[in-house]
Amino acid sequence: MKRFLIVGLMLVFIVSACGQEQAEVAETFDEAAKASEGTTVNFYLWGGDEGINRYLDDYVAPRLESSYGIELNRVPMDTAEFVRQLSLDKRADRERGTIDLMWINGDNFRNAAEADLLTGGLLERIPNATLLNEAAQATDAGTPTNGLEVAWGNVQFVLHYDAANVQNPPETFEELRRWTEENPGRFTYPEVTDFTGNAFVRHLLYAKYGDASRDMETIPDAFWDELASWSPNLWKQGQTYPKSLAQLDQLYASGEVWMTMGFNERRAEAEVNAGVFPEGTRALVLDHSISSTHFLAVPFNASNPNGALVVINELLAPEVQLMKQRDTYWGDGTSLDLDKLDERDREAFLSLDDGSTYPDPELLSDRQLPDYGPDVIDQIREGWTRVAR
Amino acid sequence: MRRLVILVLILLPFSGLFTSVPTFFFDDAIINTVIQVLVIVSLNVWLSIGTAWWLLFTETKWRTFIEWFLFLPLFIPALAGTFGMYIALARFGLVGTTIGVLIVLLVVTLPYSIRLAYNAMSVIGRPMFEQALFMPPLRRYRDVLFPLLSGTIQTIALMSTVIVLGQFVLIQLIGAGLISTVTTRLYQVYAGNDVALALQHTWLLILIPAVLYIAIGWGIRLGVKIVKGRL
Amino acid sequence: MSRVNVLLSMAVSLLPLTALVFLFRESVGADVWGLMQEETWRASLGVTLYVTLVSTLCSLVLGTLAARAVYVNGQNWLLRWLKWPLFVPHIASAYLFYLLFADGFPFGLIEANERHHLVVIVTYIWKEVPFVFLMVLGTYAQLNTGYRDMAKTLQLNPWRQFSVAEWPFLVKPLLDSFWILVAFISFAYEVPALLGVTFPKLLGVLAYDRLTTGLFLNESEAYAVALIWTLFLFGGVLLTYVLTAKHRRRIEKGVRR
Repeated sequence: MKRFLIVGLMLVFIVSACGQEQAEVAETFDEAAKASEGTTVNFYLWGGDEGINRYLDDYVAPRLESSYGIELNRVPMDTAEFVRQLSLDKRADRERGTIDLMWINGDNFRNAAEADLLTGGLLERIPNATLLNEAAQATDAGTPTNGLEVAWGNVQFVLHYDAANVQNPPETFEELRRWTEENPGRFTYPEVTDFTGNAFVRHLLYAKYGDASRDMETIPDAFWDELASWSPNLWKQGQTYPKSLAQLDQLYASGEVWMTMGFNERRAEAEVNAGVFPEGTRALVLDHSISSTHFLAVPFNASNPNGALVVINELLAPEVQLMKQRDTYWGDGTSLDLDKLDERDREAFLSLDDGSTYPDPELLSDRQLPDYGPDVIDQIREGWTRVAR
Repeated sequence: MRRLVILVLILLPFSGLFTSVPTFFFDDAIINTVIQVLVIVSLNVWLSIGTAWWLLFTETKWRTFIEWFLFLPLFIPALAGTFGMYIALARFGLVGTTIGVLIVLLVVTLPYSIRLAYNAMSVIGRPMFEQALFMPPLRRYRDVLFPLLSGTIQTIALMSTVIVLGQFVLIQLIGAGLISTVTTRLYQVYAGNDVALALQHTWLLILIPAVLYIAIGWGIRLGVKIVKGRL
Repeated sequence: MSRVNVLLSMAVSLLPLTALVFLFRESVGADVWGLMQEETWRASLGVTLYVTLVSTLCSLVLGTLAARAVYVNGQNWLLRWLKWPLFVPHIASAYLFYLLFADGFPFGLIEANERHHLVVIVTYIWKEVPFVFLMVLGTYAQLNTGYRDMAKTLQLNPWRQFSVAEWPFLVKPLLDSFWILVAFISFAYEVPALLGVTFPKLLGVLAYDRLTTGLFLNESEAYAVALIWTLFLFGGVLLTYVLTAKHRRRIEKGVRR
């Protein structure tokens, strides 16, 4: 009996170790659509935002099911985690992985591209890619995308504050620092290993050194000393920082701090409507605001790359992008070039009503700033220890 | 008085559970979790008692070596072990499968269980077991090991349940995000805004081992009664 | 039959040992000297040792006292109540303690997320005392009370009574518990991640952060730290067991009635 069990187990091992060849990518979109009918696409992305989750589960997934017969399986995971999974796959020669499609950008993209973890040639197979905003598609935080990823959305960094507690909001980063002195314990930012926390420090870097900061070999000590001087007036006297944006949002929602921040100028609207963020939440655009594009990519070992292509095409459809930008679910800015859309679609985008938490769009685009490259992100991660200490 | 203080110290942390009213629900993640727990608990009980028996009664020069071999995995940092196991399991196509997850869960529970079983057996002492040496295996398990070790079996079940329920990084990585359990979901909930939701999951994480422990306790007492009746 | 069990158990143990091979391979090229110089790792090592040793030693002492209270002083009620923390997985207990201490407790005295890591330590003690209790309980259950009676008859003071009649038998379970707890606490993630601070981080949290936040360039460092720590633990375990081997064997022989 036991022998059988062991032999059986070994058989399972051997059988499952065989038949692992890389899946083939169809040449054209129509072939891909045909090949992927009735399949499942595993879509890996950060799962920390209910609005995003509902947008995909309640709006996108049913559309894919009815138009293409594709089942969309959303898998919540932190980006760096699944990029690590891919790099382990590479080392283990795993030709058919679990990830078919993923949300990626910035330093994670650079890492994945350098380690050769992505499938190329996406753009020519996706009809809707012709509608993309070319500037947004060209580079990802300074790294050329080379057709390894497709722009999905485009957002800018803003702060949000609770007008019930903050009467005269600061207008520059310098004023923000003084504001923290007058309101000790009411401000903090996520630690710089977090995507948002790191971006906040990049804004300060630009506020101090301007464009010169883009070519700096290392960040000067003076900058860190100045940032360290913020600490005594931060939440918990700067002894600890929120580990993630979600934690900062939690502090903001409970009224413990009076400001939060993040990429995506429209992100607070749904939170206010849901009663999570306070009624008085308003946007705050300081000296400048980094704009950031997020992308979709297909891993080198996707089991269902054709299904992934179909899903990407659907996610770029004007109607689907429009719903993404509405405050119904997510409020994420479009990655399409409005000039390339037809009249009706363009009007629809332009007429999206302003929410009470949206910043002035003109001010926002005036102060727009392209993002730094990944090297600066790494430098901030390394140097910031001096502040946290 | 002193008793009261100690009781308060033990029970106080549970007070957090009552800060909001949880609503109960039932879904795939819970079923996954319960199945995992049941499989892992049974394997642990079976393997650890057999192994401890062997360690206690086999005279071979390999004994010390094997004892250490089974003991040392306890000291490999879980995180580092996880990455190594991923590579090993990926070669067999087991990443992202239930079998793969069950294997690694067994890996992190078994060394503890063997230790518990081995300690318990050496406490009860060889003489008590020696009478069973020449029994056929099934009767040995049923008539001697089971009644003598009933408390230990319950403890092994509890320890492995709690360890399984504590695994986040492991299940997330080896399950490739496809196997969702109460713990993996809880992790995302802890990071979010919803305290009530986080508490719901915390309740579950405590109730599952408690219910299982009580159920196994009943089962064992019933079993022992039956065995005794037959003798 | 039991041979099958041993073979399967060994197969299961083989898997984490492959992790060691993996660690060796990945650590190649790590600048170990530079690592020791880096303040983040040094501070992390310091705070890890502090948290690990304080929580482990407190748990050992309290766990033993509790077991003693049951068998020597007949406080049987402890048997029932000390089980409670066992039902709570570490991650859940971290959250419970976070809820309790988030705004300071009692009366704002101790807060979660502060540099002394008091709440982390308290959480571990609460979780591990019952574990030590269980490990030691068996020994007390089979302890020959004759030894203690003799020590009493000889009118040794209480401390001497303990060290002569009980301590020798406790060495093995306490040593087991000590290393299990040290290994677990020093590289765990869940509890310090929720209750710790940004700087200094405990080793497990720091290593996990370094491995999952895109600093791919430094990943061999994190692996090297894991490897060094594992080898250090292996060394410590082997050394203490070799040193106590003679003593333990004598006790084991004596116990076989």
